[in-house]
Amino acid sequence: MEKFDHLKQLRRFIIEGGRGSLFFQTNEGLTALHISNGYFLSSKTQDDEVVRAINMLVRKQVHNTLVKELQPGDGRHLVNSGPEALVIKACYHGEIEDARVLAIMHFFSLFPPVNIKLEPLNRHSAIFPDFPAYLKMHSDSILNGEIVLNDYLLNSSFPNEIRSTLRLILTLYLLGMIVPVPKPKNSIFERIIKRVRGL
Amino acid sequence: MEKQVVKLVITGPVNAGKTTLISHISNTPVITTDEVATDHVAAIKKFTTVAMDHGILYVDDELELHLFGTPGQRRFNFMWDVLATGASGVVFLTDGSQPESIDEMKHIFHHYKDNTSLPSIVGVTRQDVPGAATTDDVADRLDAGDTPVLPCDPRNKDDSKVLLLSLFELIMRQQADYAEEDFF
Repeated sequence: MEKFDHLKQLRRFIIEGGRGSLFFQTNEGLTALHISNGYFLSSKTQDDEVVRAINMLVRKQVHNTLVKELQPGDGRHLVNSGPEALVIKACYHGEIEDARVLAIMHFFSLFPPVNIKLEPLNRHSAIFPDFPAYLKMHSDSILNGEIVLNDYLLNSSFPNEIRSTLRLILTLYLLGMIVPVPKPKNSIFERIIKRVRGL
Repeated sequence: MEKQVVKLVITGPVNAGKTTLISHISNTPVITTDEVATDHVAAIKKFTTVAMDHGILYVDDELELHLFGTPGQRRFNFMWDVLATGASGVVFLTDGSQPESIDEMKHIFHHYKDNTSLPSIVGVTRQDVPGAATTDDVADRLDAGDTPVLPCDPRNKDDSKVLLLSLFELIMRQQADYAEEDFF
């Protein structure tokens, strides 16, 4: 089974504010992403190089992944957009091939129940068409205590709907908005949450 | 054993739905301090809150959630700070169909942001009215930063619950109750 380590690595760098270079080998050659404190670097300040590279990771099978320390210099600049906008642009650009759709679906179908974190993604509404679907997933998560990603994929009846759901899940996953269900600690706020859910 | 009390402030301009939201979450009748509206508010509603609304949700034998709704009019703003004392978070509600409600919300929002460090969330009501401001518009106009802005119909119980639960999720995240694990 494909492990999707490249997506896990990329996610960690983004949400942990990591610093390093990620090299990915696909059938189309070697792709590199350079990150400093969770922000992407490129040979120019425009988004396109980074968006293209992330898009490649989403759309193509990655055979090998290598993480290296970020070497200083090489004329790299911080790109204009933050990681949220870059990931959204990459996930919502171009078609995902059928074989990749099935592979990514399988990856997410194995996830344990998760929570969906609330972040102000409406700030990116111009490039993020699925904000209402994201809010729905968040509402389901917060009202029920957890959701199962596979339910959303199985409930998508049409190929385009599946692709749309996958793009949303990929975006949320890479940005760290899909998180494990916290272990119960019976804290004051957990007790209130449980009570409000039951109203 | 002494009961623990968690306090939340529900605030926003006149007629945003604060009292309705509190009534959905409380399991006691909401205590209101309504008076007959005499100023511009009279054109919107007959009665308006002048001191506070108060509702209680009994969580269990040892824990209560107290919800305090502030008056929406600026001339009662001395109550805003009084009610925020000891609170765990703030819910802001604004009417998305009324530009003046959003302008007033901006004043209230920045009052709390400047004077407290409480976790907060914004609910935008009346999203079903044609031409109403979207959550994105409201976030821009409030200069909301990292504060989440959600659509909310306080007449809908689930919407009210989602707004409050989202705020508690933020509070817990700030208190590091959420720890991400390695399996992701």
